Amino acid sequence: MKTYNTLFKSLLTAFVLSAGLTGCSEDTMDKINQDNDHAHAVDARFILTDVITSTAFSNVGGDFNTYGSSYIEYEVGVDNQLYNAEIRLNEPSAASTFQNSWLNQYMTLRNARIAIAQCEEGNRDEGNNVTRGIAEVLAAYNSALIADMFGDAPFSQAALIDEHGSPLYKNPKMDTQEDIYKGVMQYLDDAIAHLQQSDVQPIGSSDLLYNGNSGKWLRFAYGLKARYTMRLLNRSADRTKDLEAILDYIDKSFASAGEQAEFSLYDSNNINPLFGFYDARAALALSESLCQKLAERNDPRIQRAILSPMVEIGDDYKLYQVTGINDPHYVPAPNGSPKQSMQAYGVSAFMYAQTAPTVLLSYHELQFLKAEALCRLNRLPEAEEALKEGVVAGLLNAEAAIESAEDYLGADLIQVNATLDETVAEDYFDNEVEPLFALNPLKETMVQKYLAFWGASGEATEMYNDIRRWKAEGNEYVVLKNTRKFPLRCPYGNSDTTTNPEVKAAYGDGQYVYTEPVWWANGTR
Amino acid sequence: MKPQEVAVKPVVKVILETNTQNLDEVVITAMGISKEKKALGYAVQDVKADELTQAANTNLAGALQGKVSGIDIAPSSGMPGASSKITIRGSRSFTGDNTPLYVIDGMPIASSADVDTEIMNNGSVSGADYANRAVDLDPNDIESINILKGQAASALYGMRASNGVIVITTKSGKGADKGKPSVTFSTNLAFDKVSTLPELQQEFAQGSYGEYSPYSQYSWGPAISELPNDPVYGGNVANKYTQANGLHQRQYYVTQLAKAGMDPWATPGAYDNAKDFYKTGVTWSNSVNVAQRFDKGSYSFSLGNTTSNGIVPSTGMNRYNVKLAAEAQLHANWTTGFNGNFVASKIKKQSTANSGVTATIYTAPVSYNMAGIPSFIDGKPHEQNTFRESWIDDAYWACDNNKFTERSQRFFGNAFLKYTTKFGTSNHKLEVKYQLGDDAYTTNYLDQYGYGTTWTTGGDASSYHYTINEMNSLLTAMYTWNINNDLVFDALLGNELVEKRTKYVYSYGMNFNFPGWNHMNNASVYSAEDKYYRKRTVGNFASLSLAWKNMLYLNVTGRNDIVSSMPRDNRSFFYPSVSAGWIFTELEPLKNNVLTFGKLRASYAEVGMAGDYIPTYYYTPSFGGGFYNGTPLMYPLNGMMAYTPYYIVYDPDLKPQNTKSYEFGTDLTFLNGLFSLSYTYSRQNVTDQIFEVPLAGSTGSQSMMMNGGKMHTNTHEFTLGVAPVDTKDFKLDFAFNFSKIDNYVDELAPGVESIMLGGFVTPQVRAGIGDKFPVIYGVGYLRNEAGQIVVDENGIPQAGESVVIGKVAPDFRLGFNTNIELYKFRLSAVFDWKQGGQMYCGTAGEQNFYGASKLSSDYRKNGFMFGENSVKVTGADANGNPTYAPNDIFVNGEDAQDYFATMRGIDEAYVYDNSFIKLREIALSYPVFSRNWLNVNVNVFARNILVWSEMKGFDPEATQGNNNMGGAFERFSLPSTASYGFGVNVKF
Repeated sequence: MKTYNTLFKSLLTAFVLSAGLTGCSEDTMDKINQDNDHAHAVDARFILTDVITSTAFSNVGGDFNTYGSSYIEYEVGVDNQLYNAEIRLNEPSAASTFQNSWLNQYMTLRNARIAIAQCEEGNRDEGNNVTRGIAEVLAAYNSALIADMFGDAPFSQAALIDEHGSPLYKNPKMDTQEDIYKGVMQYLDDAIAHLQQSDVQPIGSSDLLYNGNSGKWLRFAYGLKARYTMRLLNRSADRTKDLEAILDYIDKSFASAGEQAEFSLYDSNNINPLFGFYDARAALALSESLCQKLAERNDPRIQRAILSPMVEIGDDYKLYQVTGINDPHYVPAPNGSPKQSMQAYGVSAFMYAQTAPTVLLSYHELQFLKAEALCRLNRLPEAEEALKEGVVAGLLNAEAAIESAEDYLGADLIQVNATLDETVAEDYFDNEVEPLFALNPLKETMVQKYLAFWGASGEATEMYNDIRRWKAEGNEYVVLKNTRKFPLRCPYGNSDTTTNPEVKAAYGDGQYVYTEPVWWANGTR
Repeated sequence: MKPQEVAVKPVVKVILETNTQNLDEVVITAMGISKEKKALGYAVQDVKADELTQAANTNLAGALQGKVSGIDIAPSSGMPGASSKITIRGSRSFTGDNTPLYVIDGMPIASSADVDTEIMNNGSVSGADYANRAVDLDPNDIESINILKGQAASALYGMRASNGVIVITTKSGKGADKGKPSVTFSTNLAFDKVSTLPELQQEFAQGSYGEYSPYSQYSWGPAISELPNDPVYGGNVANKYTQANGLHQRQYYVTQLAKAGMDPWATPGAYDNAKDFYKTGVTWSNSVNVAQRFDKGSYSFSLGNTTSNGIVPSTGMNRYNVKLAAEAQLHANWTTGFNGNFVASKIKKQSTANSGVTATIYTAPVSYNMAGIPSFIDGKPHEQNTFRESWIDDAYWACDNNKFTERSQRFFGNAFLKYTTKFGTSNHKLEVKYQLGDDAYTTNYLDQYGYGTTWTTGGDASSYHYTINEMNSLLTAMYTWNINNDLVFDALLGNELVEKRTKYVYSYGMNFNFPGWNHMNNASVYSAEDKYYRKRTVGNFASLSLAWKNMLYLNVTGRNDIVSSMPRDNRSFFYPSVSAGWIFTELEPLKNNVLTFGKLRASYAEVGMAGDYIPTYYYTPSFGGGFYNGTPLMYPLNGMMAYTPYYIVYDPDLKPQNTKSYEFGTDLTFLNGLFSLSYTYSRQNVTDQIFEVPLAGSTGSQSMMMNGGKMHTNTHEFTLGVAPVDTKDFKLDFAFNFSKIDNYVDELAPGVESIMLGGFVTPQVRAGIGDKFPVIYGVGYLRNEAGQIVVDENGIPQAGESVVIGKVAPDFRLGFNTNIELYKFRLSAVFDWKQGGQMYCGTAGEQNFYGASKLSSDYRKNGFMFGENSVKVTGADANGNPTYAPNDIFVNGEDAQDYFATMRGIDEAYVYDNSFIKLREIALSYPVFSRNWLNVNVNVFARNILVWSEMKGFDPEATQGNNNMGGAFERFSLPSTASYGFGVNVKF
């Protein structure tokens, strides 16, 4: 018996000892697993910093702009994915092509929505109404991009989180573009109200666009109202009323290019996204159809923005700024049928515009919208005035980007032509544009808008919308030369086409991108 | 006991040696429990020291290849310190760790890599490999390895052991001679060569469509012999160069020579740039062991050192191992002991795949002499001068300017106190042991691209380190009761507490301000990250066994784990196992002289695997990937930081994944050991895998760490040992280890059809439902409904849809080991045969595309017809469906360049069958001097000789990824090596 007692005692001792070693209560384990390396909630302003940056860099200036440049013939895709896009092989209809954009778009919207929710009553940022207004402007902006690029898409159930930060809906349902645009307008109306209030904790320099200036944000919000009202013109119940409203919004928007919504923080380390694309991929080349349009108008940009292919000089490679389409160094790529080559063709100077800002909404865009509205209302003298303002501002915007490219290229650019200034721009308008305007005011307004949006500002994204809107009217204001089928939209991202049943069904085999215009371009889906 | 031949002397002293092949052999099982092998109800397999070190492999994983069944070892390359993927009986996790737990001298230690190439290298398609922490182990100090393959064998280790356990016992003084210390010294010198190289064409120069161009990436230019007649660069003809320098007959002007400040006129030739680039690697390893046994204790002290220079310039490894182990008997009941290991290592690596050093040497035009033309511009060492501009860094330039290193210091060891009592009885025994151990290490990593690299703008440096401290406290009480002559009862109770603390600091600097100083301190933009986290596991376990008449053995175990890394109220899990063994030859009627030993065994076990749950958090987003090089934009911007929810969210309802497994097997010995045969079938059903489930992007999140999925594995393991001759002067034995592991993915999360493990959008390595794990996915050939490849009107195949284009897992593996002792010579050899399986070999495909391969010139010269059961379209039937006829369209030689350009768009064209047979090891040793006081053995050996391979020119064991994609995806990967060497072993 003594033996068993000893045994029992030994075991008991062992387990008393073990209990001491065993810190494993839920509270202890919670403490051990506590994540001290991350924030689990932050003020809305820190979220908005990235909403602004992502909107500019990833959404406006990213792949929409890059592929859009090929679709609308600002540039010609000459290598790999962009070449495929140029010849309409696979990329324009593949669900993987815009997957990154799709993700970025919804992440940005989610973040804007988190910021809005935090500013609501009882939440962390209660009372920060300017911050809330900013978040609403950005939510509107990104929602509109989703509708414009993808057509019907998840919206009301999309980009929402629960209290754990998990998605509220794992497979958000589809919404119509019409409903998304109702949401966009609602966001903007709410923003306009909130931006006229104040912040308890001002957003300040976390606002990388306007440094917390609520007045400028308000003007931006009105500018967007103008843009989107024009966007929906083909669906307008009362066009005259809407056109008048556009003019009213524009009056309340930017008074000068200095106020435009531009993301201007690029430098040699943080680079313009189009520059970043070209620097890494070199897959875009000079567009022949664009150069022809410039040449037809003796457009002064032709002497500034067109570069030769790399030319071997000595043991080095250099670039020329060409003097015109008769210059032997002018080597454009044919739209829709280039060789797959990164060296064969010239390029536009914008590819080297390392520091050119990404523009979310430009002053010149508003002037073109104004000119368009006025043309449509047949108020031609006013329209011409607005057009001139737009043309001049657009040229100067391009010139700034070209100068950024010149700075970047330095001695590699061996021939540099005279810079563009306001006088050159005005002369151009008076001598070249005005006569064409007189012949066909609306058409020339559109063409000038098209030429002004060519650059490094990310405005190909918006021009892709305009081109589709104009095509829907049955008017080829801007004639494209690529004879292959025109992509009418971007395909959904494959993260949804593989997991979300409604999106999967809508995507089908992806060929709908060539056959189905978006709703505001008179489509059905 | 095995028979000894004894010379007749006046005084005969016979010491009977233990025969290691005998089934009475004792093996170390879970928690250090020694058991007779025959008592086990599950399969284990052991590898002894001499088998491990017979061919002087300094890498433990390499030293195990071909020697064990049921285990799959996929090395990533032959570089010093290269990672390898070890899996036992397939995989259980899609993206998580599938490698076994290493237990050394009773204590689990870290063996996997802290850095995953998938995360750090963007899908494992750039940057350098990261070593597994098993690299710290010196095979020379290992006494034996026992592999616990199934979950029943490892269940006592709980969650950490669901992938099996490698139980390592290092050398100790227990087996040493009593009295004088015994000293063993061994030194080995090995030379490494690239194991195989592809055959190149010798005829066509740099250029495209027959035209020479000095910066073309292709070898589709004119005939090399025609270069002197090139209108622009030829030395035989008038052009701007000959006008300036005069005619240079039979030469041509090489722009890059001029840029390097050398005579630009060269005589054309064909070069094997890969062959020129690889050096002969040298590995020198030394180890000393001093061991001694006393009346009441013993010690063992080991020192080891390995110095390797890889076959790629600038790569290598230095490793120093020190170990001291000692044990002392304090009192009749009390024993104490400790062992401590210190390891310091430095590994110098080079980059792979899309930033790989081998990209340029394999694809370079054959007329371009990379070894002969300096890789930089004269006077500007940072500016690259190579055959192709703005592509992947020139191999020579990269070795001079890019730097990838790992420096590690590590201590692991433990101390114990043991109390043993028999309670004054003869049939009771209790052993209570407390062991406290620690595994502490810091690894410092540097990944640096120099100023002038094409990988990022202005170069960049990532410097980061992991400092890990894992404390292990283990208390066990083991009780044995010999109830009567027929019945023995064993019980084990235990408690284990493991606490791991991880500190991670990462710093990144980019855009070096000026050339000549590639260093973090020269960067112009910085970012940094800092993390510290803890993880605790508390396990309580018990094991009960009963043995009856040396015939029936029954074992039941249970373990409860509580882990901190799971969500609250979801942390405690219980795992049972049961196993039984029946030695039927102990039954009187079945005793015979043919089947001298026969056992049947069966077991069932459940083991889980926990995840790492973190409540959803905010982080500073980064920009990059997609079309960009490096980091195009980085916070802080304008001095402002941004925080957004992390793109992965964690499911608050996370539960551990579970493996249920059963196995059946038999061990049979015939004719007293002439043949021994062992067979095991096992089945694993794994459910609720924890992995990053991709979410619909429209949710605003990218993925969720959650449970989902099912997979199963059927494994057949078969070991046959034959020892036909065993005499004094001639001994022969051989063994086969056969494994057939079929690992299938049954389910993923709802809506998820596949998970990417690495690679590109296409091709990629992924887990797909219904497929073997893993598969290669990418653009396939266009095929008709009958599955035949449809060629176009020119006879060239076309790209079809993205589909599964390759299965990675082999049909089976067969290892063959033999030992021959003839007089005093001992010859051992290990062959390893992998049958079936495929891999993506990007380099082979790209060599065709660029026109460097022999195949490309054969096609170009002779034309060809695309085979592989292809068809052409002949028209359409009444329903408008196409009709086909066998492809008979001959492709002319001049279309070969276009053909390969088309094939480049078809990933399937780059997938190869990769069955192979390797002579893993062959070694011959001879005792040149053998006395009581001194033994000197010399040996020669060779390793990893590719005897036969279905894939030509590339080693099937050189692939990307130090994770679950290993063995599947090659693209400018670093090569494998074959080694040859010799060594001396001295014992006194």
